Amino acid sequence: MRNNKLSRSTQKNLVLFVILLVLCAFFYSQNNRFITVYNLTNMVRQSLPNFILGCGMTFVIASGAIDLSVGGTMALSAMLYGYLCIWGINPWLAVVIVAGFGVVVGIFNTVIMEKLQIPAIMATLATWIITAGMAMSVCKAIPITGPELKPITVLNSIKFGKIPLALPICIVVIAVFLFLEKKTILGKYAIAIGGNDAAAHFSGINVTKMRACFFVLTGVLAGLSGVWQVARLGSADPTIGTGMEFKVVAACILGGVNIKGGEGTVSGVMIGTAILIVLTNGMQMMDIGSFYQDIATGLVLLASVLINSDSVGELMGKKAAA
Amino acid sequence: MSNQASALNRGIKFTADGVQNLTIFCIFLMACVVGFILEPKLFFSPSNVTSILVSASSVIIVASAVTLVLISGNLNLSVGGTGAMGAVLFGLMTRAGVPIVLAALLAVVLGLLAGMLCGFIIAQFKLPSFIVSLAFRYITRGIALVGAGGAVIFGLPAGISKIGMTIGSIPLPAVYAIAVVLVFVWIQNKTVFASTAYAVGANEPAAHLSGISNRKVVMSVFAMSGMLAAFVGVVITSRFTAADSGILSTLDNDCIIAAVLGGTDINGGRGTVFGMLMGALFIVVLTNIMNMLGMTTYTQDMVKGVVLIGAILLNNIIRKHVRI
Amino acid sequence: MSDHVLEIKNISKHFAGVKALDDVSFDIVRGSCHCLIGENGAGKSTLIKILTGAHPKTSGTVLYNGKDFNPASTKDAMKAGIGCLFQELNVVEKLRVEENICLGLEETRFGIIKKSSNQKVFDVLRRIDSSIEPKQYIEELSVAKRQVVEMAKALAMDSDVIIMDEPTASLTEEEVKRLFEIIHDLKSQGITIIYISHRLEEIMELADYVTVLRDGRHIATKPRAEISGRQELIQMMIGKVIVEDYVPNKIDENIKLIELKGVSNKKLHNISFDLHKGEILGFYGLIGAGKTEIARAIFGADKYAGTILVEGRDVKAVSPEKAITNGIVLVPEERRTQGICTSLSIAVNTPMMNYRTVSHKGILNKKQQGRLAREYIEKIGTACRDENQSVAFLSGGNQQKVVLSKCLNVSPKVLLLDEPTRGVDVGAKQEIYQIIRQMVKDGCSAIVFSSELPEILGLCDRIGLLYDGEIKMFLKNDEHVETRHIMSVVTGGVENE
Repeated sequence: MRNNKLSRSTQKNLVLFVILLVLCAFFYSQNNRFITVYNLTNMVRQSLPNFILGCGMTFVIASGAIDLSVGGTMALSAMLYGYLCIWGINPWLAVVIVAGFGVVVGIFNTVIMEKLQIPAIMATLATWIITAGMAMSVCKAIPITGPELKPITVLNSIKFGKIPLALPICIVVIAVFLFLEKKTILGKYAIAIGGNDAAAHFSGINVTKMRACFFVLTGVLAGLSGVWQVARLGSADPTIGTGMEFKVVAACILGGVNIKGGEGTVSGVMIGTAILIVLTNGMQMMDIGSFYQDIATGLVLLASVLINSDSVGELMGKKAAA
Repeated sequence: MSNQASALNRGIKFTADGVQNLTIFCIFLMACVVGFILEPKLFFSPSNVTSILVSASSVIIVASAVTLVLISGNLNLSVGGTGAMGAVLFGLMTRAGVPIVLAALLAVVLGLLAGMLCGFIIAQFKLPSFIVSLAFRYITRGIALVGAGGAVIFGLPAGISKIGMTIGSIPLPAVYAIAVVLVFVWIQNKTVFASTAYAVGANEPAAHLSGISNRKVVMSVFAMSGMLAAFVGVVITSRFTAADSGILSTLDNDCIIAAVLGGTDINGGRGTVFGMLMGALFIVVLTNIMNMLGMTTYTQDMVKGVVLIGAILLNNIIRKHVRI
Repeated sequence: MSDHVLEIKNISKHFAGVKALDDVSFDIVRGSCHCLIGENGAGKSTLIKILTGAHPKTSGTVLYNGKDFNPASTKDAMKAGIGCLFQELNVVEKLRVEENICLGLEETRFGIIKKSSNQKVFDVLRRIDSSIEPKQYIEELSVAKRQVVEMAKALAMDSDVIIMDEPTASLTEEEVKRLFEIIHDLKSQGITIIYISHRLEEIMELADYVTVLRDGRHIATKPRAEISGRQELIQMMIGKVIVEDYVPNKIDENIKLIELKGVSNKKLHNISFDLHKGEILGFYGLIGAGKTEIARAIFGADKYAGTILVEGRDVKAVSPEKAITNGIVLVPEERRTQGICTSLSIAVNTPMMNYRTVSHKGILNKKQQGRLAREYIEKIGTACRDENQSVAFLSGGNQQKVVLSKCLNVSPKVLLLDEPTRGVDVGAKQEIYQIIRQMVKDGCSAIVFSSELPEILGLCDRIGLLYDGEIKMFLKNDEHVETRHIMSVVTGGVENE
């Protein structure tokens, strides 16, 4: 009898998806170059880090924490990658080393959060400041370039017909995370820890270990995002992560992740990320100054957090009942 | 208890706050000594002291209010954006011929309103301050970018430089910073409002059952921080006679670092404006020393992050051992 | 001996000098429903906390399946096979039923959950309640069904003892029946149930054995067959009530300070009563009877339907702030989370309800604040270093005195006291009673909400008996009051039993 009823998160995701379609239709009506293979794939190419970081951040926020250090980690990873290549290390081995660096950052975040017993927001804020500062200081704020960075840019230039490699990468990453969410303990435990950490603890879940897993996930993804930006730009730029942490968090909130934990889906966050990106890109194509994008992002974030809040929900429920 | 005994007790009391203030004060003094040893002629020269004060002024002014925000158990990530918004609005108005004083006043009032609205949404809908102020960070910075066309507004009337000028050898921003700190030390110590902020931050349900309005407190602290952020934007604009939409990009973090260094508890209910002042000055002196050592500003940012972790660690230790 | 799943031998537990459990010994038979009863503070929850590893015991031994049992944490106890249904449900709302039951028990390979995990869930659920779909989300389930999920989880962990602490507190009659059926089923499968409830009807229906605790001591363990009826249980639970020297207050029946007319909300049904000037009104009821809810409604902290008049005016109580200006103050039930700001000093806590006496136009006078705090420290006898001491470092009794100082300096007309002496040692209790009596003598009125009968009988002029959100009856406090009768009413008995 209840099998045809959709779960609440699926309903939310459907609403978000409809909003995404409406936005796309609107921008298409304003400028029909909006929906072209080139533009759509280009959006993915530019925003690949937003998508893949969103996947990891879903787990972190759903488990009741937050990771503000991703922007800094991303920038520092890009620098690290650049230097590794210049030092003559095989560019593909360098990718693995950078991923390992992401693991270290994740563990560092967990250690200061647990040892100092401070909220995740403060712990990762400190990491953010340190990593972002380090990224800028190693290169004195000047992007590093060189022929050694050439091999990795192949990731950006490969195309299958009209489709750039970014699209399959994005799809594979999302698929992997959907799998992690639905089929492995990672997804279940994130929701359990964020929703009721006493229950999680009593069920024998090692909460600290799981937290470390989630932070390591975002750390590794931030590292790989840094590498991707090197591939896309052909240089290692220490400013590539600026503002990234908040863009990703905003996409998570918009995608229905509860900022207090216990709720959130990868699919929702992906739609949320897509909405923010379509909004940015569409406004650009309408020749609305790119400066309006920040205002739009802020308003969308505010609206989504208001709609998801209990007290507003209560109010709306009451109106519906009356 | 005899009066004498209680007087004696009061004479030697050291609360956790007191110990914290003393600690950060000592650390600050030590930093000064290090600076003096490195550059005996330069460090205490009037020009260096004023430059320290000027560079600390923005953080000191805004963090005075942000300390109260933290004490009330909230976080404000929108002060940088609000500052930039204030700067740009001030620039636009003066360029359009609005009298300078009126323009400054309007910009500050708009900052206040933005902060108040942010606080209202947080308290009314019981939302995490982090996320709401993040939204306001985008909105206010966006307004600044739109107003300045994503860049800097030049061609402002020369008269505006009076707001931030240096009279004799005394820079006005430093004067503002001292005045604001004095006012906020007074507010924090002497007003009922501050007491209610501490109560809300320490235990919101208990404060509610004592008839203290969470909404009033949160709206007020956010309004104050918005107002002071816009004021700082105006002062910076007047010093450069140009309104830059990209200013104060690290102000949010800097305010939090200064307050936490000064012993403010990130979970709310504890902290002092005096401690924040010492924290902010320490950071600037540290920066000064790092400049002398030839470190880049970026390396200095990194050091700030380490200092933040150290400060939290120190606070934890003091809280654990000073049990009064 | 193997038919005793648990053997409790000479268990004692001391909290800071207070004996919460004193040399308690009894055995629990495998596959039985063993009920644990006693008044609040009798030691039931302490005993449960020892069995589930939340507290270490001071002395004594517990044998579980014949082996020494010393769980270091609730997690340990659960792993060993002692499951517990807490009053705060331990389920994750946003996960499915099957996911909740398997949580922490998943069979995995490299973190990937194997399909075979689910088979166990089907089995376990079928054993107790087949009306619950494993695919349902917890948020779609009623409280009763969430409990069933918790039981299923305990079974999935291979528990052979399940502790249920007031499981029927928020269930409907139908759901209670269903729960009892489940308990019978579980027993027939060899599972032992330790059941704690204040509702004696339930005990009489369910129990195979009943253990009565009183003041931390073991009074009796009897098979159900040897118990004649509720009256016997009540007799064992309350023993001899030592009533404090109750002195009637001077009541002015003509002045009604507070009138409630048909006040209802989620927890309350049609509450109506008057509070007269100079009176101490008492509300007695067990946990979950609605005491706190009445206090919070009068204080404006909760919404309600119906009317509350304060001195004849309809207050439509909107907030505690308004209530305080109307002269009503509340000493809340939970001191630490609702009463005081522990990180702040006594001096800062004291004027929190009323800054007028220590401030002028919003500016605080620290000298006056200190003076006020010292005045109340002396008046109430708070033991502390000085007024600048952090409240966190005071004992429970002294913290409660700080809460009283906070309330009293408002010069209230009505004092609402919700469990005013919970977690307070005996000496401080008497002092707090004296303070309340003195306040009323000085022209204040009070309503005491308590689950301690001696407290109510020692203080109050009139006693309202609460059961399940309703006022069952009012009694005048005099020598004719029968404690047995009171216990009977608040445990859900019929009046004329």
